[in-house]
Order: sequence, then structure tokens, then C-alpha cells
Amino acid sequence: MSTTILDARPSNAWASVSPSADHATGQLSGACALLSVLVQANRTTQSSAKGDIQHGFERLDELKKQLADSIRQAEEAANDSGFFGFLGDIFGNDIAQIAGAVASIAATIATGGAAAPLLLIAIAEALQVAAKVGAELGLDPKICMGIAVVAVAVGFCSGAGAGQAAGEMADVARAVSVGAKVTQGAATIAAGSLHLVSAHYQVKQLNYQADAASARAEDDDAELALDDAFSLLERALRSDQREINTVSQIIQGDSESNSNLCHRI
Amino acid sequence: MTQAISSAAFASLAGEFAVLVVDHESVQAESAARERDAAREAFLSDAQKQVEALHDAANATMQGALIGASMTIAGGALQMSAASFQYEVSMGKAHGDCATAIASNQLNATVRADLGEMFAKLAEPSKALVGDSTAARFQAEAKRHETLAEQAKWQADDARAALDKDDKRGDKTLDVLQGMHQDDNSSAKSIIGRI
Repeated sequence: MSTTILDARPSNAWASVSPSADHATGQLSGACALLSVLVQANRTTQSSAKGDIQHGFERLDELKKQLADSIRQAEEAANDSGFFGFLGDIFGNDIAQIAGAVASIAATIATGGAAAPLLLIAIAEALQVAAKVGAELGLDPKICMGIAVVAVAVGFCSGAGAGQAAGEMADVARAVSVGAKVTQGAATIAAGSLHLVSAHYQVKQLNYQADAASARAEDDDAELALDDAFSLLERALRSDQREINTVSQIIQGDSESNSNLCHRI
Repeated sequence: MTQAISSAAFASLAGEFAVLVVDHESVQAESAARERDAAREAFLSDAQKQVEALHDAANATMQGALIGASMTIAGGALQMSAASFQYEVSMGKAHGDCATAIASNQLNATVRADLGEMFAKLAEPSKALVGDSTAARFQAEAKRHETLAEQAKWQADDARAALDKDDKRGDKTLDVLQGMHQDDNSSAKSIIGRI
């Protein structure tokens, strides 16, 4: 590009120079030397700016890829963190709580089961008393008879067989209670472990976010550097043009003055 | 003739003035360039601090999660252990074992169950205290540095705009100077023509 300017601009100026004027030739040589030095300096600046621009574009491409990778990885880590956090919540909140409730019910059954025969005897005695007192208080004899029959039936149920069955049920309930408590503990441990895995992915997400922030900052910096390089190139091109114009005009003006002087002489 | 001399004198004076203006513009441009470089350095520094704060927040989150998970796991293990001792107690009672053994098992079961519950309940607050609050502090710091970096970027942009403006002003001055030089040349030509 600078070669084109060099080829185009000075040729017009040189065309107007009178070859017979020595003084003008001397001035022309000086002006040409100045032009050459200025254009060379500008050419160096331009090539440096062009190199910076090319390098800047390559760096921008690379940084944009890095940024996209970091954002994608951060999203993946966020998804993984959410999934493991969800699993941890299921284990910690749902399974552990259900197991805890089962353990409590089983413990109640186990405790109640041991006292079942005594409870049945007490109920039978109470019903017998109720039937007797009810008759004395003028209650319908049929109702009193029904209560007495139920009392006898309950009395039969509170025998040795029922006690043994209740004892077996209490043993089963005790085993269920222990199993449920162990399940609750295991679910709590699993929830803790899953939350740790979730936190690990959360940390990865934060680190990828930091990488993304770093890549974004470098990207901004590269854009600033690119803008600077463009400004430098623009300035160099403008000053190149200006220098050539100025020197051309000086030469043209001087040569015209010399021609006029020659004609007058 | 007089007119021509006067014009030349004016051109010379105006040229000196133009040189002064160009000098002034170049000083201003240099100052703007320095300001832009400083803003760019500040931008990079703040961005680096933001990244460091985000990494610190990640580390704090990990520490909190480790403490919380350790306490939760310990709580679960203690609850399981307590259930085992409680089973021993129940079986001991059912089989009519020694009262001392039953009491010892009961004590173990109660202590472990209480400890387990305590650990399980303390896990979340410990995680929040050690990890989450520290991470939140670091994230706030990261946000502050992000804002500062953004401000520095604006300053750099402003400085670059000022630089471009100075450059354009310098160009205008040079244009004026060039115009005066052309006028000077025209005057010289007219003088020669009149001679």
C-alpha cells in the first residue's frame, strides 16, 4: 500500500520540476531524502501495526474459544452439581426421614407388643366390671350381656398363646426398628457423600467461572490492543499521505517559483 | 508589495503559533496515551484480582462442603452405631441379660444417638459458617473488582477517544499550516509576477 503511495504521489511532483534549475534540483534532492526517511519510518510503523493486528486477531480467536470452553464446562459442572445435590436431598430428606418414621413406629410396636397380654387382661376385667355395673345402673340387659360376652372373649385372647404371639411380633418390630435406624444412618451418610460430590462440582463450576472471567478480561485487553494497533495504522497511513502531499506541494511550489523566475530573467 | 510582506509576516507568526499548537497537542496526546496505559494496567490488575477472588470463593466452598459432609457422615455413622447398641439393649432385655451390660449398652446407645443428632444438626450451620459465608465474601470482592475493572476499561476507552481527538486536532492544525504555506507560496509567486 505504501509502495502505491510512493509510486503515485512523488511522480506528480517530479513531473512539474524543471530539469534546468540546479538550485531546484538540490532542493528536490533534500525533499526527496526527507520524504524517503519519513516514508521508511512510516512503513516500519505500518508493518509493525499490521503484525500487531494479525497477532491480535489470532489471539482474539484463541481467547474466544477458551471463553466458550470455560462457559460450557461451567454449565456442565453446574448440571452435575445440581444432579448430585438433588440425589443428596432425596437421601438426606426423604429416605432418611421415612426410615426414621418407620423406626419410630416399629419401636412403638415393639414396646406395645411386650405389654399386649397385660393390656388384654386389663381390658377384659374392665368390660366385666362395666357389664356388672351397667346392669345395676339399669342399662339394657341385652347390652350388658353383649359386654359380658366380649369380656369373656377378650379374656380368652389374653391367654398364653396370645402372649407368645405378641412377643414374637415385638421381636420382629425390634428388628425392623434397628433396620430402619441403620437405613436412616446409611441414608444420612449417603446424603453427606452426595452433597460433597455436589460441592466438588460446584467448586469446579466456580473455577471454570474464574477461567471464563480471566479469558473475558484477556479478550477485552486483546480488543484494546487491537484498537490501538488499528489507531496506529490509521495514524501512520494518514501521516504518510500527509508527508507525501506536503513534500510534493513544497517541491511543486518551489519548482513553479523557479520556473517563473527563469521566465522573468 | 506591502500586502505581500504583511502576508508573509502573518504566515510566519501563524506558523509559529501552529507549531506551538501541534506541540501542545502532542503533549496532550502523550498524556492521554499514558493515562490509557495506566487504565489498561489497572483493568488487567483488577481482572486478575477478580479471578483470584473467585478461586478463593471456590476454595472456601470446598472447605465448607468438606466440614459439612464430614459432620453429616459422622452423624450418620453414630446413629447407625447407636441403633446397634439399642438392639443389644432390647435383645438383652428380652433374653434377661445382666443389668450392668444392658445399662452400659443403653448408655452407649444414648450417647451415640445424641452425638449423631448433634453432628447432623451442626453440619449445615458449620458449612454455612466456614464455607458459604466466606465464599459469599470472596464473591462480593470478586464483584467489586469486576466493577473496578469495568471502570478502568471505560477510562482506557475515554483516553483512547481523547487520543484520537488530539490526533484529529493536530491534523487540523497541520492542515491550516499547510494552507498557510500554500498562501505563502502564492504570495511569493505573485511577487515574482509583479517584479
